[in-house]
Order: sequence, then C-alpha cells, then structure tokens
Amino acid sequence: MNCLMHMLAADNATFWLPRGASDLAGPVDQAWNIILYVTGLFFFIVVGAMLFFIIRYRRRTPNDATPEITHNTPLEIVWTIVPLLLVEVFFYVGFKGFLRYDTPRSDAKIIDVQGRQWAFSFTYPNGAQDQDLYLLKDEPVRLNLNSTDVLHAIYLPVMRTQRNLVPGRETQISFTPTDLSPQEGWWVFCTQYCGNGHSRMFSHVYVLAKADYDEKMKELANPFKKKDPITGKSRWVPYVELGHTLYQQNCSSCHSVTDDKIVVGPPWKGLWKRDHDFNYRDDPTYTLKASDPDDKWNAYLTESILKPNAKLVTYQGKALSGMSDFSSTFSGSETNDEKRRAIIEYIKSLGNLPYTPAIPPDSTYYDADKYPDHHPESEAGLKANALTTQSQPAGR
Amino acid sequence: MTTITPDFAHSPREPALVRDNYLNHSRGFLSWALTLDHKRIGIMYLCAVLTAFFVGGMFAELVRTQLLMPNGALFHSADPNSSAVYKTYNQIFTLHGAIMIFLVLIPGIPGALGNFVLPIMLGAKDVAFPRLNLFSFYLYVTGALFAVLSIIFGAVDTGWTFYAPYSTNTETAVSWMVFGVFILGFSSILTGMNFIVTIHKLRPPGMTWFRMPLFLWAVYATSIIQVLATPVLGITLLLLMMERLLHVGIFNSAYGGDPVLFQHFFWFYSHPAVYIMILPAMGIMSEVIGTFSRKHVFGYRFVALSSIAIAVIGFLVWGHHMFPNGQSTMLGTIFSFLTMTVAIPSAIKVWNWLATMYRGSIELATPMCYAISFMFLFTIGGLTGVFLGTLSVDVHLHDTYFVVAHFHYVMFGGTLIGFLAGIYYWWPKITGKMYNETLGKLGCLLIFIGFNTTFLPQFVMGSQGMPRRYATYQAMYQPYHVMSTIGAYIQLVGFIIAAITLLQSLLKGKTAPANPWGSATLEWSCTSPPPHDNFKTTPTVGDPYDHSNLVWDDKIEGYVRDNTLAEPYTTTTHIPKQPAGH
Repeated sequence: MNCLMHMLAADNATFWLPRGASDLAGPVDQAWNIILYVTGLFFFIVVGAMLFFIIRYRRRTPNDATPEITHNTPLEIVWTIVPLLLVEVFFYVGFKGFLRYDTPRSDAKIIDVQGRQWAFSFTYPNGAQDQDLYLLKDEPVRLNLNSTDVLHAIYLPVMRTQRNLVPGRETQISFTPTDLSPQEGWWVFCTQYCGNGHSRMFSHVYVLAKADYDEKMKELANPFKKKDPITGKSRWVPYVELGHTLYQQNCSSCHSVTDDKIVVGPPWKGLWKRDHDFNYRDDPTYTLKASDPDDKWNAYLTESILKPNAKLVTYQGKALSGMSDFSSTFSGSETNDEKRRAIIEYIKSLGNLPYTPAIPPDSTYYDADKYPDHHPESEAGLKANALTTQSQPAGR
Repeated sequence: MTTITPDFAHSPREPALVRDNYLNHSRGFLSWALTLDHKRIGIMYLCAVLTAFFVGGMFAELVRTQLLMPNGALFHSADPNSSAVYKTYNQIFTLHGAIMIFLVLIPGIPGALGNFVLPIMLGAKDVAFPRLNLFSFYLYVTGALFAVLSIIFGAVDTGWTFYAPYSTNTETAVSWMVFGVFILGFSSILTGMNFIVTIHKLRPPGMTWFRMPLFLWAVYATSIIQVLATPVLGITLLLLMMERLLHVGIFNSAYGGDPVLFQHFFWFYSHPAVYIMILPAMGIMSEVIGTFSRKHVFGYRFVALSSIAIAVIGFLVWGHHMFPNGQSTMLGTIFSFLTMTVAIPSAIKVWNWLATMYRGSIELATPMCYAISFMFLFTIGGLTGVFLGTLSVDVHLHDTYFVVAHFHYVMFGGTLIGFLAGIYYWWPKITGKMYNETLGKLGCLLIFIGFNTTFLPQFVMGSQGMPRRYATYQAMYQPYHVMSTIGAYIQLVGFIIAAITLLQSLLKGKTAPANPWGSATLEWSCTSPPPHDNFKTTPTVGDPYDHSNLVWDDKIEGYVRDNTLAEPYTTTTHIPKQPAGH
C-alpha cells in the first residue's frame, strides 16, 4: 500500500502538475492522481458505452420497435451508492491533506507577507524586507498574510499551496520547502483578482542552502551596504540608488518615474518643487509652491508617506484620492526613517532642478570598511562627517 | 434581422401556416409588445437572450485574442510598471462573465424554452399568471438596459463575482451593473414563481406528478431555487451598493466590515444559481435522448427526483468556493463532504440517459448530436468538479484556469449545449419550419471540436499553475493559450453556421409536421406552430415516454399516433413487458 502511495505521489513535473517542492505536495499529488485515475475510468465507461450504443443501436427504420425497459431499481441503487462511496473516499483523502495545510505549525520560522495593489512584500525575522521570498531548505516556515487594500491571494504552485490575503484579518500558510530552487527561482502568483495590475502581481520564491540563505538575509537586512563579490570591499549605497530600489519594491505600481502620466498616484517625475494644488488639506491655509524652502518640501513628502490622506493633490485636472499609509515600512525605527529619507532623496533627484547629493557619490565616505558606523547621507552620518570635516578640512 | 414577425407566417408558399396559429393570431407591434401569450413571450425572451449571447460571445473572443501573447495581443504596455492599460481587458472579461451568467445562462432556458413549451407540455392554455409573465420579461429588458448603461458609464472591472472590498472601491460603474443584476433577480423570481404555480394548479386531469415530462420536473426544481435563493443575492447587492454609495461598513474592513461575509452571501445564491443554469438543460437532455432513442426514459422516478435532490443539496455546498479564502477548517470540511454528495444526482442522470440509449433506436438528428456533446462535455465538467471539491487538491487548483475550464465544461458544455439541443428540438414546433440537418450537424460538430480545443488546454495550464483573470501571463503558458484561442475561433465559425442554419430555416425551411421526431409529450400533439390557445380540447394525458404507438407517415414526413397499436393509457405506473436491465 505504501509503495502504491509512493508511486502515486510524483516528485517531478508531469503533464498535469508542476514539480512538487514542499511537504504539502505529496498528499496533494497523491489525491490528484487517485481522483485522476478513478474519474478517468468513469469517463471512459460513460463515453465508451455512449459511442458503442450510438453505433450498435443506430436507427434503421423510423418505426424501429424498442424494448419497453422503464427502470431497474437494484441497478439504479447500485449506481447511486458506488459513486457516493467513491467520492466520499476522495473527500477523506482530500481532508487529510487539507488538515496538514490548514494547521499552523508552532515550530516554524515566521515571515510576514503584506499584499498591496500590486506587489507582495516579505518581511523576515531579522527585519529584512524584500519583494521576493527566500526560504531555507527543509526548514518549516509560516507565512503570516495581511492585505492593506483589497483581497489578494498568494499562490505557490510548486509548494501546492495558496491562501487569500484578507484586509482586516490575518491568515497564514505553513509548509516546509524540500527542494533547492533553480537559479531563476519559482513563481509566486496573486490568484485573487485585485484590479488593473492583478496579472503583474507576482514574486519569486527561492529555496536556498544554509550558507546562501544566511548571506542573503544579511544582505537584505542592510540594504544600505553592499559588498563587492570580487574585491570583497563594502560600500555604502548612495541614497538615490537605495531610494530607487525601495521605489521598485514599494511604489512603482502607482507612481511613474519615467514620464508625467498619472498611473494611480501622481507621477514622481518633476514632483520636487512643482507648484501643488490641493483638493483637500487638513490645514486650509496650507500651500506648497516651487519657491518654498527645502525643509517645507521635506516635511510635505514625509507626511505624504506617513499620513498620505492629510493632503490630497489635484494634478492634470484630476482630483487624486489618497493611498494606504506606509508608516510601518518607512517609520518606527532608525533604519526605516533612513529608508524614508532615501526615498525622498530619490524623489528630489527626479525633480526638474539640477540635483546634487549632500555627499557626492565618489566621496571616500562611502567606503564602508573605512567608515563602518554610519551611512554618509544618514542624519548621524552627516553630523559625524560634518565634525570630521571641521577638524580635518583638508585632504578630502 | 427580425425574422420572426407575423408577416412571415403568412408566406403564401406555406399553406399550413395560413391556418390560425399563435404567430398570425393577431398582428402589429403592440400585439407582440403587450402580448400575454406565453409562446410570444418565449419568442421575445429567445431573441433577447440570443442577442445577449452574441454580445457576451464577442467579449469572449476579445478575451481569447488578448491572451494570444504573454504580454497581451490587444492591450499591452511597454512600461512594465504601468498597468492602467489592463483595465480594459478586466472590463471585457467581467462583461463576458456578467452577461453570460445573468443575461444568458440563468434566464435562457426557463425564459425562452420554458415559457414556450412548459404550458403546452403540461396541457395548459397558458402559465398561471400571464401578466406577471410579461412583467418578468420587461424586468429582464430593464435589467439588461442597466447592464448596457453600466458599460456606457465606465463598465465594470470586478469580475462577475463583485468581490468586496474591490467592488466597493473601484471607480468603475459597479452600482449600475449591480442594480441591473438586482432587477434581473426579480425577473428570475417572478418567472420561477409563475412556473411553480402553473405546475401545481394548471395540470389537466390525468397529468399526475409522475406523468409530467422530465423537463417539467427540471424546470420545477429550478423554479424552487430561483424563488428561494435569488432574494439573498438581491439583498447582498443592495448591501454592496449601500457600502459603495453611503460607506456603510458591511464588507469592507476599512469601514469595519468583513470581506469574507460578502463571499458567503454571494455564493449562498450563486452556487444554487449554477443549478438554476444546469437543471433545465438536464431536463432537455431527458426529452431529447428519450425521443431520439425512441425509448422510454430509463428510471423516470430517479431522474425526476434527482432534480429535486440537486435543488435541495445545492443549497448546502456554497462554501466550496472559499476553501482557501479565510473560511474555518470546520466549515471547509463540512462543505467538502456535502459537495461530494451533490455530484451523485447528476451522476444518476448520466447513467439513466445511457441506459435510455441502451437497446434504443438512436437517430443522430441535430438535437441528438447536441445531446451526445452534452453527455461528453458534462461528464468531463462533472468529474473535474470532483477534483475541486476535494479539499487538498482545491488548494492547488483554486482560482486557476482549471476552475475556468471546469466551469465552462459545465455551463457551456452543459447548459449552453443543452439550450442549443432544445432550440433545435423545439424549433419545428416554435416556428413551424424544418431546418437543414446537414448544416445543423456541421455547426454542432464545429462547436464541439472548437469547444474542446478551447477548454481542454485550460485544464492543463490550470493544474500547471496559471491563475485566472490575468491580462498577461508568463511565457511558459503560451502554447496552451494559443491553442485555446484557436479553439475559440473554431467555435465562432461553428456558431455562425448554427445561426445560418436557423435563419435559412426561417426563410426557406420546409413546413414542419406536428410531430417530426416521434416524441410522446403533449406539445407534439398540437399543430406546428401551436394554435393561440394551444389545445382546442383538453388533451388526453398518457405516459410521456411511450413511443410504441407513434408511427412514421411518409406523406407528412412526421409521426402520427396510431391508437390501434397500443392500449390506451390507464395506469400511472409502468410495468415492464420484459425483465429490464442486464
């Protein structure tokens, strides 16, 4: 019996199913195969009998006499009871597999998944955040699912699992990845229709071995620093570059940076120091003009990220509505505050005025091995470097 | 285009049509617009439903054309970050679904064929409430107009399921469409109520419950669902509109509501609704297979009662649409168990149709060709439903193309093919004209081939992980999509041929005899087309499936009843002349 069950659970991709790479795949594939063979048999019985009857009992004259067979109660009871028993066996097989899927594991590593229109974002135990899912082979994992706007669903075909992300609720899926992923990873799809970008809401899942996984986590935990794989030297990532990465992870589905078009929210191209019209202001006297100082613009952009509905702009004749706030991503810790500053720095670089960063990117302050404490553009870094610059004005 | 007019009935080439019948009984636009005749109302439904089917079908062709290319063949964007361009695609697939479900599948068979044949099959002069019947039709038209208005005011991009909170947030014209569906619901409820009362109160002497043709049992079961389930949809849609327009928190968590609640309410109607769609088609199957096998429908009582069983159990399985949607494990388990049981009455019907064909005299006329298609396609549709009812397997298949394929095999391969079988079967009765069998069969064959080319690949891409409602997709799924689209084009050709067959019959068809197929049900005992009052005298009611005394008459090219061949019907139970079965 075990041998048969093993045969029924295919490990590799088949005509019907993609390869299975988690502990959930076995029971699902087994149930799939059992149902496929049994229903396939019934299909051939029905269609075979039908075709046979069509040929064997074809009409010969318009007045063919046919036997008066009206019913056969024992036969009818048999073909009611037998399929009923069979489908309830299917139910039981599916139920067993479902319990495994539906029972949260207490020993699992927890990864928070946030869905928004139209991207997933994964937050790891060490605080690292990314738009892709990185998993450690053979380690049970539990994805805690949240949505900030509408319904989404996270679907991992090779893991044979999916679950809806329901706004206002927390749902979960747990599984153990059992195979290393190929270089390009496997697909993660959104399966619950969520608007314009539904079909573009996808990520990748990578299942890694321990060493690769740890390295990746370290890298993700500190997006401010990058290690050159060849020279082995660490370098601070300039805020404009970091801001662009964060934009792609969090903002690109609604804000354009390449042209002046409204995607969902206002385009970022040319946004910095552009005269603003508001359709709503929490402070009715508030205005924002190109001539206003940098500080006022910084304050406005900060507020727009953390409390986006406080002021709503009218742009290109269209009164734009707000968005859900990003305060959990871009405030609450020093790292998150700095990420927010990087985003604003990136927006500044997209403005129509010539842009010069506070610390030029070729400065030696970006050498993370030499100045490991602070990013040169961070608040702490700017302060420390200002002191350094004062005491050692020359040679930089 | 409007070929069914009183004028056509006066064509001098057709002496039989000069006789008074429902088509030439009165003349003029108002005699149709204000008619209380169930047959004329049925014809108006038929025209309206076929128009809606044409529109919904064109949307389907657009959907399939878009999916020829991974990045979209019609709507695509060079900027990978811009998705506004997909809104149009989303509106198109939503309109395809909403039109096909609410304007074609639900009202189609009961509204068009049910209205036309139900009273005649029963032996009645009309439905119980003819004015209410006309009102139902105008409610249908009004609901359809709201759907058209919703397209004008920005279309709908929610999918036909209107899941909250997307449907309460999106800027498109959801309220118009939802209000249209709300009105259509009333049309459905009133038609159902009318049929229930008609079947209970207007049966002539001798028409006992177990002498009713199986189509009537099926429509009766359908009507029960329509009356009991549709109000739930109505109130759900009103709540949705309240949330949208007044921001009353019911489904949207931002206002303190719960999105899963909407799904429970929605599927409480919409799952029984799939039985509203399929049951009448199953009724047509029983009539067509019995007639063209020239044999008594096997296991009449099992088939009749299985319709009622489907109606009852169908109310208890809605949660199988929500296994991974945030429903509790306990609910999922109960719903999966009950879902399995609802498969059985459908299986019983298939077995009984097969047994009806056994040792019959099978004629492959066009309606029978559609019936054979139905059995092939519905069997696939039903069996793949077992995969989706199984909890663990559904977690993998949920919201993929596997569901899309399954749904189309049941609703298109089942309901629509059944509808076509019914149209061809009753066409001579409705219009008084025969159609070209060769063309009819060619259309059927092309639709069958096109259908399978379209939807078989969708099972495979679905189980391989292709999600539904995607405007773009990953390149690995392209071969399946291309094949599917080619199938959709083949179907288009098939449907054009089917339409030509019927139009040609209207213009040039031979005069139909009263009973061209040798059916034993009552509607074939009145002339084709039927007289205004259906029956001059109260008809004699017999066994609806006893074909033994129907003999072919070469002169009229139809069947006539020869009462010398069999005893008059006196008993209500059927005693087999020989041991049945195997």
